[in-house]
Amino acid sequence: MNMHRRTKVRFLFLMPAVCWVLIFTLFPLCYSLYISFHKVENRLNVTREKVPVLDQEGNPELSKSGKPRTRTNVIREKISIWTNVGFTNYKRLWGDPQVASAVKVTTIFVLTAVPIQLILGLLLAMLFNRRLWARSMLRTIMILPIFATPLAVGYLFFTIFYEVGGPLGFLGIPFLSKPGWALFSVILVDIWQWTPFCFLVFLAALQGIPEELMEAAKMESKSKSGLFMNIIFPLLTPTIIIVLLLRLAEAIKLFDIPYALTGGGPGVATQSMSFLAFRTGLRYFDLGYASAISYCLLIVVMIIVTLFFRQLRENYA
Amino acid sequence: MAEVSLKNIRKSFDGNEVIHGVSLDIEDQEFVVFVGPSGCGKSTLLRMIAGLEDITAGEIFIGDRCVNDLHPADRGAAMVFQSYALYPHMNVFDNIGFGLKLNKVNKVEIRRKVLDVAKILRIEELLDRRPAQLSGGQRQRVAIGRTIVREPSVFLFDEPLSNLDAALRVQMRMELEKLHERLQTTMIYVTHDQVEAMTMANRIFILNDGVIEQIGSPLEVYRNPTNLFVAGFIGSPRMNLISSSILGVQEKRLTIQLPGGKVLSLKRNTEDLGEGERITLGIRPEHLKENKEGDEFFEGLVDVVEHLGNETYLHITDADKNLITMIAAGDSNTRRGETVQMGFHLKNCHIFNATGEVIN
Amino acid sequence: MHKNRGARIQPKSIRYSLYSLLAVLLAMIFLFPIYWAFSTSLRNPIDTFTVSGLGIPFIHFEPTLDNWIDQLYTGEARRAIGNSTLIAVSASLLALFLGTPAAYALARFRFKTIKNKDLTIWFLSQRVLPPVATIVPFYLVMQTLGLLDTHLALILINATFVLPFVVVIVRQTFMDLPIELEEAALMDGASYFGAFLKVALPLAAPAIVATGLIMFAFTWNEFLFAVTISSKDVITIPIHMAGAVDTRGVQFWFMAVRAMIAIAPPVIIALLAQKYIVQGLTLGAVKG
Repeated sequence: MNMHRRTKVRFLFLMPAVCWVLIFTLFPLCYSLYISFHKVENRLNVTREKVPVLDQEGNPELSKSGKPRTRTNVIREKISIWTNVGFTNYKRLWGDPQVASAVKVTTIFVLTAVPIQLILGLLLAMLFNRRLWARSMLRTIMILPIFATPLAVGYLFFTIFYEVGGPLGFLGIPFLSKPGWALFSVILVDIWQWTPFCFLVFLAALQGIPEELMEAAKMESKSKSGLFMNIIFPLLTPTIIIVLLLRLAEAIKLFDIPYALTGGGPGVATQSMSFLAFRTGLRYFDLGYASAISYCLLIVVMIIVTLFFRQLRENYA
Repeated sequence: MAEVSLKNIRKSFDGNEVIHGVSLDIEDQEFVVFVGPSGCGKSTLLRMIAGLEDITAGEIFIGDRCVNDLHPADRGAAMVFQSYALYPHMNVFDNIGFGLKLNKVNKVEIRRKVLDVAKILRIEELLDRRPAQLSGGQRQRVAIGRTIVREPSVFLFDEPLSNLDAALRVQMRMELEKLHERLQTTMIYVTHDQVEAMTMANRIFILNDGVIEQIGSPLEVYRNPTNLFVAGFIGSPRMNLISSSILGVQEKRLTIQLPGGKVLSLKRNTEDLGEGERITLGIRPEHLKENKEGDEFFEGLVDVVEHLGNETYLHITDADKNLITMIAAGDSNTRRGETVQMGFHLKNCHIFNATGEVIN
Repeated sequence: MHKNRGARIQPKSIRYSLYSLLAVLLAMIFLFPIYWAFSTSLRNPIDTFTVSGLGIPFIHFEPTLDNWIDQLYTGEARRAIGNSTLIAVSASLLALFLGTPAAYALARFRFKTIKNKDLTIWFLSQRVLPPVATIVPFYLVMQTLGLLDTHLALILINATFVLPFVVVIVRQTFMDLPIELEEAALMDGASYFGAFLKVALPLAAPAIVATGLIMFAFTWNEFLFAVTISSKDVITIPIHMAGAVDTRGVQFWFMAVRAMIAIAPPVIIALLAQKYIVQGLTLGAVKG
């Protein structure tokens, strides 16, 4: 065990980060739960009151008839009224067609984009595991999309998918104007951006397989598929699971790309859960409902993470 | 069963030639050792025979087939790797049976063969375990089992014992020799350890820098090294090599002078030799005796004494600043700083000419 | 029979050529959108939709730097770059400052009640959270504190967002360092903090710097929190981009320039921090 003796000091090292996370993550999450049980109404409260007019010395001024002069003081207050409504928000989202649509959009997106990325990434990794011309440079080109600002990528593809006169205009496909195609476009962009990630990780894992192992297998059998199914794939499985987990968790958060590429549309065809929650909370200011929607998303993610928990533990031993 | 032949094999990596026209023939059922220092090309040759490296020029025959273009799995060879290369995600049974499974042998057959092999190597209780749960020696055996089960015509070993500790190495050496006896199959074994070469081989192929220096049985290369390299490589402790010059040349008689003046006269073929030429005198430490027994003797001061228990190595500097090692008895009392006289017989002397070839 | 080896074309070299060609094609496909943005950014507005073929500058149209000059000289764009840079640098530094000691603790000290492994996974799980679940609370809290539309708010939030990365990756880095050097320092009389500061930290510096760069890239790209917190003062680059579309209609050439401005720094960082990217992106689960 490569560790120091257990001393009290270890808490000093660890605590700042832990406290930070507790304050800045745990607290907001709890607060969010609290909000989701309330209805938050923001109203402009206007009160008018008659107030006597005072002169410079503080004495009430008198009008011609001798009565104190008054003026109307208009007070505008933005107030937030919080009403505890229990599970009303949750019941509401159960029947809300917008929520149902957002769930559908997010689900289709995740279940399509992620598997395709993984498979393409794996195929690319296998291709790049060979001797290739300018392999190093090509690999570097391949990983550029990963770091590109997702929002910018969304706008970028907007210019590419633009139907009238854009570079793909000759195909005559309604990339952005028809609901089905719009979702397809979003999926395509995500694949473009994240396949390189899968590729990179799988390539690293492939290159981690000792050369001699592959040679021993070569000495035993000619079958390339046999080699893949029996040796490469089993050895890659832990990595595949990690990548799957990371991509699933990220894909569910889908926000930037629809925002830029389609604005959630046409209609709500590309409005993901995150987008819906954002709009509800920060555009329509229905804070309680927005929190409830976010919380549902959170629960889904937690379920996914729990499923993968065992594999995670193994990797961090 | 197969003979193995290499005809004029050359190998280049990126334009750099590392094997320069090697030709050799290995008989059926021979146990042959490729030995040489690091980088001499022995592993490269083995891998070319296996099919894991391309052949730049030349041909390799296993049996009567030319295998240059054949896939490694089709050559009838099986290889034990230095790091064993066991499949970490499979248990021992599956490791051994992997090749059979992929070649569509039926399950009952596989089971029978694997169990047979496990019995030979005494690893039956290990069949359920994974490589990570095995010791070095056990992994070694599994690696060997993997090759046996395929019933190859040639076994290839790439420094299989280097990762084992000393005691285990000795034990495994004997097991391999017994295995060879039992299986009666050609075995090509690569090592940098000349002790392994000497003890295990029917014939040794000594390689240096991409060429074969000498081929012969262990005793042959020990007794009659044909060049300076072999003389210095085979035998531990290393043969004493003393730079000398030719004093005089007569019909079948060579007179040499050692640095410092000592003159020796030996029976040799002196046809191509001339006076004043540089030569090297070689004499093995084990051929020097502490008393003056022999035709001649060296005298010098003891620098370092190494007691091994059964033997004692004395490292001596003589009056002419030559460094000489000799082997004395295990109970020798000789101490540092003492003067000793080392006797030797002329018949144990080796003479090498200026280009390193032996003069007979 | 012996064949004449020299005359035949080796099948291996055909395969090499084919696969290399395929790889080049695929790399071009992934590069295309970025290239297209570059090409669009160099075009006159008129040319935007009338360019033929692959839109190669000088060959298919006359390039112009007008768009770039226009963008980079407006106050907006430069403010956005300034804001983004300030926030990204501060957030990364803050995260490094908080996370590195924690990473060291998880690498070198044993924790009993909650084991190191589990603590690490706890940090990891923060990353997996959907940020959207925290935007409403953050909005309210920042509003109460009067920190809406301030740099400080975004710095704090972004630091939180990248902290898990730092902890998990840097922990792995420390674990890969041989402990003997720190033990030697301890034997020489250094305190645990001293050993950390003077031995472990300098040795881990390259990885830590690379991690910091990657965190910079993530913060630079961040949009959701930025759009939640800011309204007019703290315009980051993504917000700047989003704003342009609404108010001025779709001006492709400007959009392309902005996209390039947005993408350039993180992409350059990707090139610089290449060695550590795999570790960084998989949070240490897979070694690069």
